[in-house]
Amino acid sequence: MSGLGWTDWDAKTTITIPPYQDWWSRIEKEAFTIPSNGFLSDKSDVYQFSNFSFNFANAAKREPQTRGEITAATESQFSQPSAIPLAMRMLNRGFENDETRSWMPDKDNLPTIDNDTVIVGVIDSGISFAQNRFRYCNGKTRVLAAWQQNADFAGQTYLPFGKELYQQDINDLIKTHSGGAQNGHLDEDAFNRDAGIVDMQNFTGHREAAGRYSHGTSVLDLAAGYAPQTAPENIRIIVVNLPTHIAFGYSGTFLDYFMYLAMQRIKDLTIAIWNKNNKEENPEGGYPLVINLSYGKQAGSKSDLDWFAAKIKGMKEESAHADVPFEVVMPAGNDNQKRGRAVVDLESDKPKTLNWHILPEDQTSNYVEIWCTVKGTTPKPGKPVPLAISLRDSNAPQQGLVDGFISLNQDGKAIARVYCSVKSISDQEYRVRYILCTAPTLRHNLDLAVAPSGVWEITLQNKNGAAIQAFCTIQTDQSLLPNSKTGQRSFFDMPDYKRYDSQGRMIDSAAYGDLVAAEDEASMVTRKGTINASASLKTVNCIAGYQASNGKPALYSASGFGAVRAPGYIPQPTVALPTDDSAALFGILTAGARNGSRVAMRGTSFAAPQYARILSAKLAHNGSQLQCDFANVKIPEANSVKIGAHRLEIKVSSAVKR
Amino acid sequence: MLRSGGGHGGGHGGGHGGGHGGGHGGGHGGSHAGGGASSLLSDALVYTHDALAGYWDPNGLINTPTSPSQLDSLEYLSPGRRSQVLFGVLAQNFRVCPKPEKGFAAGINLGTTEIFRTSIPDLVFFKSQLKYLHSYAELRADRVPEILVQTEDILSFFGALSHLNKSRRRNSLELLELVQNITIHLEMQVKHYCRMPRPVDYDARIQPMIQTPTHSTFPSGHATESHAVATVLHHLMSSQDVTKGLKNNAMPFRLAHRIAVNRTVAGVHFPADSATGAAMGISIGNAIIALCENSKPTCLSLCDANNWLLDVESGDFTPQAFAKGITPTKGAKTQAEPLLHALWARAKGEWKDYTPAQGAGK
Repeated sequence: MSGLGWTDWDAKTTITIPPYQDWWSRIEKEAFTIPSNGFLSDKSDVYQFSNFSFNFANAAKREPQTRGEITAATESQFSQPSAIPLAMRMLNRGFENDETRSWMPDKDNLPTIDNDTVIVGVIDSGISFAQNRFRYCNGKTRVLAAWQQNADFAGQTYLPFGKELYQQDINDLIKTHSGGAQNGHLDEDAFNRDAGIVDMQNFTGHREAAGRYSHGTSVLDLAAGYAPQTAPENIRIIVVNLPTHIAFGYSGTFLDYFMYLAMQRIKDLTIAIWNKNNKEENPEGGYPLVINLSYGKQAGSKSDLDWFAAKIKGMKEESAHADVPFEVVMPAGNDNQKRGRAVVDLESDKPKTLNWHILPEDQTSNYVEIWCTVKGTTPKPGKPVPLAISLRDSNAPQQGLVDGFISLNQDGKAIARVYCSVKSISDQEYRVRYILCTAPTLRHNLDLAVAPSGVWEITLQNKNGAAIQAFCTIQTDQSLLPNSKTGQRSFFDMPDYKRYDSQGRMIDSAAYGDLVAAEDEASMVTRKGTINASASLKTVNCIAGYQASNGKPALYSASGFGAVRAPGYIPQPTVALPTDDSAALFGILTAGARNGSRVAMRGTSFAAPQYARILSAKLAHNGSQLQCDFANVKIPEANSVKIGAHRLEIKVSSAVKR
Repeated sequence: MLRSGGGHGGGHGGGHGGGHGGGHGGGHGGSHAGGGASSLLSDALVYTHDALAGYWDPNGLINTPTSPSQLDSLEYLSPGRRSQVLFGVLAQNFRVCPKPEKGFAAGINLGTTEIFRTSIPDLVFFKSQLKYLHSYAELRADRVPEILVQTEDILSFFGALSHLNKSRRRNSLELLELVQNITIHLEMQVKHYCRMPRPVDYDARIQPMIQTPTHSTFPSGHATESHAVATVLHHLMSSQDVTKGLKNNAMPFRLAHRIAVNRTVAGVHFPADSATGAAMGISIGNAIIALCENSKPTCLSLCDANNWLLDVESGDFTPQAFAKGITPTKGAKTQAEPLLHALWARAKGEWKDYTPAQGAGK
């Protein structure tokens, strides 16, 4: 191609904002702005970077429920964002930048509940929380609070964006839309619009709950849905409805921050409610809290170095209310078979090449993260790292410079970049991270940079004395609209990776009886380690899926690291719950978007809330018969890399026979 | 001897919103006692007649049939012919006319009562509605089966609300088919006088999932027909009038609303088309009820020129805003139409074993 060439690593060419944000601002940002020839003239729906970064950096030192550090500061890599994009209509432009102030509502808005209450927090999208499954027979809600992150800012000055409803607000809204009766027939459409769950007006509004399937509603039902007649008094709900996909960025860049804010807020609300009801008598007590977050990312350190994982760690270590049970539940992920993970063993100086296959007609950027651990002193900014790299370049791999980047430019526009950074683990060990970004391969605006599709060779070379093991992961790749197919996922394309065995069945990371064959460990591309990067922390319950009829671990359910070496904690699933009823019966049954409907949903997103249900029931001393262990049932052993400690199942008295 | 037999048969089918469907079915040819007409059967009947009839004297013993009364029910007719007679009876009571001298685009009169009239929003207003074509399109994948079926058939959906088909509640079904057919004939005239471009005319990115029909976007035929049918069906099921039904969001109106909204999902209508169409449909439905009951029709007063019966804040077509926006008044007593009264009585009688729930229709 003419005009195509890489720049050189240069100690003067560095970035001061995290690589994903840098790439976002160069390549993805224009997708967020409304074209001038469009028919959307409402400027308030335009996304811009907010003025604030939501930091909460020093969680341990933070006064409970205060805002922590909220600054527009620059940060080093691996840590806080500089800003997150929000539609202007969502933003509280008057949010005061005062870290000592509370971001909680007035306690009059908070409910009175019994001391033995257990709270289930669900963070998701399209949660239609007025369904009967989340209410009592008298029509009142079991939801204590609902933060609608995507809603127009409604004047709640303590909230950074969106709007929040409390138990009384929800009850009032239910009554308004039920013809004046608390337990009358609810006009769900009207409730959802009023509550900001469905927004047909705004380009960036939520529509999911207006359809038949809604991820968040299904998750909430599994985690805390009960028939009104038997709903426990002491299991209550706090809900956060995340913004639409467009807010997350193509790589899920900003998802971490919305998730973290949601979690922190649920925890703080739980404490605030306790304080309202109990402060004098028992200031250190609290309501046990189980938070389910059925989201994740592919690439990351997959350790507690990950930003999000570190934040969860910080939350768990917060000194206030330290003895109150606090559980986080997340899914293992569904990308086991997506060829998104490779482990490259590098002897000193011998280069190896990994094929990264980027698809045509892909309207989203593609990303790979490469991590390795090196013994020695952490190099300073501008200094070389021992792992050398080249991307789609016939020249020999070059050693990256810390905080630096190189750019593949075509006619002056960047179509790919490689960013380099380091993170110190101790004074004798550090980790190197490369992030490789490529532009979309199809764009409708012909002025914008487009990357060629096909195989991009990643060549790695070890310039260290001792062997290095490089972990390569393709990052989450999603389209901006939820059901769109315009984001084509790239994959590692190596001839020795087998997808199917000689009988035509899919291979998995581990064998299962004589039903499933294990992968050949000779290939660099592997299913092991595809586990959710956001859930790769010892203290997070990371839930895998299996087929209920025969115990077979779901072929799509992401695998733990297995025997592959990694520093510190080796991520594995915690346990597994059913995600398919049988080979013929897809998924498991749960609530649909509409009140009273049932739909079949498949994926580890729906395994996680089942575990949240088990945990919350245990904590509430409510239905210890909820779980059973498959250990007594005669089915083949399954490998812990797929199912963690064991498989569980929730026994119900009258299960629907499909 | 071979005769050319067989019927002309069939209906008008597709094309119009909702289609004509079964109402005209059966056609002109008709069937014999054991099956359809054919040249073979006619030939066979010729031979049989030759063999059996023998010589007969027209002045000899013959039956004495009774002379039927003129104005009784139309039960003696085949369904298709019955529909045609009733359609003619209904049609002569309505008149659609443009009303430019009064500042309105079109109106519908029932006898001397103006039961409906509307003006037309301008292009700027329709442009402001385009954002709904964008957001409702996200529901397309969900609604494919409904939208495709509803291009030709909306009655099957109303038939799902209770036991309603040719075997059970036959007269009610005939009545509803009649309601739909007369509504189409009225709505097409109104559409012509209100002719406005379809969403696809504004932007190449709308890309409707079904073919955009040739007639005006405003008002929506589907909204008109579905609300006309809902009005009459609700009255049959519950004896309630439409304002109560709308206020309680009774099931027939919920369904009518969904059928209307599906057209925005499909990319062929604006919300304003559906709101005005709904008002027109209810007016027509009420008028038909009045003719059938020989009473005064409940008329909906004009669409509010400011917000077109749409939600004031959002501009969307919602049941709440619509129910709030209409103001019913009573028109003049209708002309007596015994044939319609007879059909109505038969239809109403089919619901005597049906007791709606309290808060009827929920």
